[in-house]
Amino acid sequence: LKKLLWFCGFVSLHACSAEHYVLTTENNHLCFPLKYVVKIDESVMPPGNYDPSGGGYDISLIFDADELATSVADYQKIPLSLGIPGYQKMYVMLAKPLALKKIDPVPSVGVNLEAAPQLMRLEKDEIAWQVGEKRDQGYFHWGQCSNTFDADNSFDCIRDLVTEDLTMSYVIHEPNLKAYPAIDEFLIAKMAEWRCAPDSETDKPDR
Amino acid sequence: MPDFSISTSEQTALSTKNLERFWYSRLQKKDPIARIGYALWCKSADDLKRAIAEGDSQYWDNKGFTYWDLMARSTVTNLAAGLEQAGFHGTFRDMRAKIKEVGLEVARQHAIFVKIDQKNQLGNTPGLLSLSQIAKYHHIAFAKFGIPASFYGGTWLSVVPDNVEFKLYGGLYCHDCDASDKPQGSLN
Repeated sequence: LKKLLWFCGFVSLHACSAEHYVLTTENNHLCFPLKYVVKIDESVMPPGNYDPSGGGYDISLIFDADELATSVADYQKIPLSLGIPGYQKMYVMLAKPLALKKIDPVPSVGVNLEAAPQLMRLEKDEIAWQVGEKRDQGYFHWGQCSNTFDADNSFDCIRDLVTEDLTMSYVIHEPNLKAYPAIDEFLIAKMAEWRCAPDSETDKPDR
Repeated sequence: MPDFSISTSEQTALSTKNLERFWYSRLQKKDPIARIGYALWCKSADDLKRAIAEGDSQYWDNKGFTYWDLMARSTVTNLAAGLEQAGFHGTFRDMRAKIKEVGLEVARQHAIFVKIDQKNQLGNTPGLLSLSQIAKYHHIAFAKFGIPASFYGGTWLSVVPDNVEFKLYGGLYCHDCDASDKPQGSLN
């Protein structure tokens, strides 16, 4: 098995579905090592009037804090909440690529984030306020942040990293905001590493 | 079209950590996840019975108090087992407090996902979540506490906790019992 995985790591388009979960996007096949995979169980809730669609692919990825701290410059491991020993893993949701549109910030509302001045808070809400990222052409959607309602007025965010093939929405905490470009690079490199050849096994389609 | 938006009063309920008020408000909007949320955090069994009796029976899936009480009890049992798996050990009161923290984070994530769903016009009905979205925000909330994602759904319907787990943790599901040390259950 070790030899097989070693071989896979050095071949750009490989087929290793036995040890991987295969996600078929519009342009690619991605072979995720099982240790990163969280399958979405939809059989859990009691019957009810749920929305039959929405929410992206039925698979997410999860990354250990130690791997992030090793691979991502300036990544700070976030302790588990309220005294439980250990560090939080990073949860990454996958969906089809979002269409990114230019945003014109409202001057009376827009505030640059202290930890990452290229990011601007675009709304005054407490929950899921949109954040824009400054690029050469103006501001574009970066993600959304929400107050945690803790005593220290902190917030956390869901960063929407959009590539040609996917939107990768990952949870990021305030201390790591300045490291988001490196987290983006890490995830993009992982996806390139996990591209694989077409295979007979595919997951459920994106909804 | 029903309005599933997160209201200002629901945001206030979250910021003041009032889970009962948050989920009761969602219940009035027929948000399907609110049936479990309210069953978990209502002040008394009578309140839950009243909500079911006065509510739309279709919304409650034509099931009565016993069923929803079991759903809530299973949820608490599962959360307690998940917290112990994450490395948390404490008294009955500690565990109740920790479960409430998890409940607050789940409610906050619910609100976040509803707002994103509404803004981005995801799915068929803005603000109404799919089972996939509900699973994902539970995973996010659980990650904050080190509860493995597999503990989402360890109980409801698919795998009801066994008698040993109910005996160990079942007493943690109670209304107005935060002041007591150990009304039932076998936690220290």
